Amino acid sequence: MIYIDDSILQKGKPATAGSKILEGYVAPYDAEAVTRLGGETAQVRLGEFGLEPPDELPDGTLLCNDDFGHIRILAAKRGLYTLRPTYGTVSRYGLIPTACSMDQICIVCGDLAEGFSLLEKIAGKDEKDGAMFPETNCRYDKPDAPVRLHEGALPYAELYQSVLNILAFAEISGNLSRYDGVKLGFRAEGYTGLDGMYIKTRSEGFGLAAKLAVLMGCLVLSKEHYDALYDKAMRIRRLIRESLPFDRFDVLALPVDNPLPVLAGLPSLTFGSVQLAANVKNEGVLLKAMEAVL
Amino acid sequence: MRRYEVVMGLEVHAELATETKLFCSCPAKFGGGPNEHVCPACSGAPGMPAVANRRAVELGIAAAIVTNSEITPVMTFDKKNYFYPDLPTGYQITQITAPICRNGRVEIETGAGAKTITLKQIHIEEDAGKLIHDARSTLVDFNRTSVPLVEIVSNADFRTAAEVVAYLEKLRSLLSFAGVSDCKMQEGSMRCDVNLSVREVGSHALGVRAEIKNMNSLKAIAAAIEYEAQRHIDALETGSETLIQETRRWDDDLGETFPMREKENANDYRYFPNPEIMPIRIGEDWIERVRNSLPEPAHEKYARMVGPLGLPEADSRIITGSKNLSDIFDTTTAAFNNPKEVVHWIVVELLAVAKGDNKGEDDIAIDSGKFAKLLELVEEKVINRNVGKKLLKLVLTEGIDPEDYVRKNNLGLVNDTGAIDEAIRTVLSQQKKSVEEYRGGNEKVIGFLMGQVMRSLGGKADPKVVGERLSSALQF
Repeated sequence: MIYIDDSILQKGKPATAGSKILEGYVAPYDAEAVTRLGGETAQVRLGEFGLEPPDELPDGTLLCNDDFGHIRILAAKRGLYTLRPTYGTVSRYGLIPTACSMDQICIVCGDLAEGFSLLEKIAGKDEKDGAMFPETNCRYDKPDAPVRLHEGALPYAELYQSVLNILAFAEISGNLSRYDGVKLGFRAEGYTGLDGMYIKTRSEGFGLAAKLAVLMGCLVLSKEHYDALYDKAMRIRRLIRESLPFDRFDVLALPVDNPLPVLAGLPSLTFGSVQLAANVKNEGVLLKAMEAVL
Repeated sequence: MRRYEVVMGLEVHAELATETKLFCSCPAKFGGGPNEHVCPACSGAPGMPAVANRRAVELGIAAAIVTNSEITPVMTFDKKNYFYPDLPTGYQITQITAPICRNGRVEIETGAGAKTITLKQIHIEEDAGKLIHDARSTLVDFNRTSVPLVEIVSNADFRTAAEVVAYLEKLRSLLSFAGVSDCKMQEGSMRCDVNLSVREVGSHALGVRAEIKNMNSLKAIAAAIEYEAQRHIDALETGSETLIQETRRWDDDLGETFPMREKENANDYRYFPNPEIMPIRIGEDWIERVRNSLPEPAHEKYARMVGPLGLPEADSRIITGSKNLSDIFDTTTAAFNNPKEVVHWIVVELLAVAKGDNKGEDDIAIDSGKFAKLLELVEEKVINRNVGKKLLKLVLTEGIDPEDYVRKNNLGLVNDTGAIDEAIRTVLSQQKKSVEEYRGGNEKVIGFLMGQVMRSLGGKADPKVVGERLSSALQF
């Protein structure tokens, strides 16, 4: 059975992204990944907008969005692989947005071959998502050449998490603005006036992590802090991307909780305490490297 | 006494004439029942990535070309964040960092001479929805949300209301002839906000600025400028009030401006680049393609009309003052190649009929094939001009087919001279007194007799033929 995170829309089923704020919202259409997948699927509710770890993972293959890594860390503990494709590989049509510059549907699975064949099924250009690679067919074959594995320290590594937080929170603060009680999802009762409706709805509808993310996002985008925080984080992300040693190495070995792949849009594959990351569109080499590591 | 100078800059919004909205495939057209032109994307439901409408970018390029602007090689979209129920996503997608173009120039002409207005930038953005308030509740209509706009931001180059009006008329001509926007102020497809301050002549520092909104005609804009400038001058002269930087709403009924709610004045919009939409590269080849596809602008059409076509200047100015009239002229002339007649019928007859129907020049919707057919029937003397005028009204209001209509209603001219002579005989025998007057030297009565004959022929005879035969009948 394939389980689908309910932040990926399935027509006629609830779509909450794990949040009370979307209570009562029923998906009006299927996400592109769901359409491409076809067949029978089940639904699972995970942590709120991926900001909180889920209580448990389903017993089976899972499609989810995992910008903050809570799912892959829990999956690793459960002995499951998490395959995160290159940013822009799987259509985000029908994925409830969290941080748009990082959102990407991932596959949690117990079997690598199955995970990769699933990815081939759902990957590839969709006109309905404007930020994708142009390839319509994606094949992930293991390369013949030996894999050059990088195991040392990387530049700016100490900044990865801060930069990810600043950028993700900024984007989340925008993407969560639509949940205002006006049109869909949860609306608080007993409010006074328009501002009262906004404040009561969002106070009761969002959990603590979502509230903190929105507040932090508003802060880093404010006139006072934009240059020192948001803009600087954007520059550092560019530096991080440019500093990656893919001219000399094929795969970077990272700890499972390292946010580099999410931040830089790289494909990654995790298992146990290990996270392997490759250059963009190089998913195939991850398969070979993981088999070698295990 | 101190002398003051008014300094103004304009922000003009024009709706782009695309079929669909800026980031989804809902129709962008005006009207429709509440929330009929709406999908999950433009009503704020989560999950639909914004995909930029290529046609909107193309129209933006056209706007850049006709305003002599420098096009940005790689343009991007940003998010402008604020909460309001008419903004379903909680952010407006607009352009701050890399707008489609900068540094444009628009030439205007006023009674005081020619002047160049410089533009800071033009950016593409999405419109917001509409709120409908009643006594108990507020309803939202998202038909307008995400309809593409260009905002044309000028520098503070304006000194008089006349310059502002001339500029808006010029922009309307440039944009409508390029097919960028239909620029109808009444329907809100062209809107203008005025940033105004007043300073002493000779001073270089700018005064305290007010932004005036909510004018929906050129007349209202001119009136709002006069009012607001006087308010500033009074404040500076008498100290009656302290000017503050604020946004003010024009009330057309009262003829005054009022401060808008304070909240709308103090906002940090937290702009940031929209990561959903990839940067859009606008290469020279794309610009050239758009340039080559631009229709004839108003001033070139005017030159062609008064030059090679030899048409009167006044009429040509009326035709080229409106994109719609120009289109009617072009399509009608294509089917009936007599530009002089077409211009005459548009300027004299069509405008009069439209005015009677309470329609302005831009609202006239006429089937130019039928219009051309009508002119052909007149030229070939199948009907006379008076019948033609009556039919024009029916073509415009009911869309009749003139040829069919003439046949079915037997409106063709009576060319049978026997019938005409018979009618003349009858009239002359009935109007003996007038005939005597005529023969006694009062030639004016021929007009009356002529009218009687035409009436008895149901107005369907060629007046020239009737006149000739009447004159000779009276000789005997």
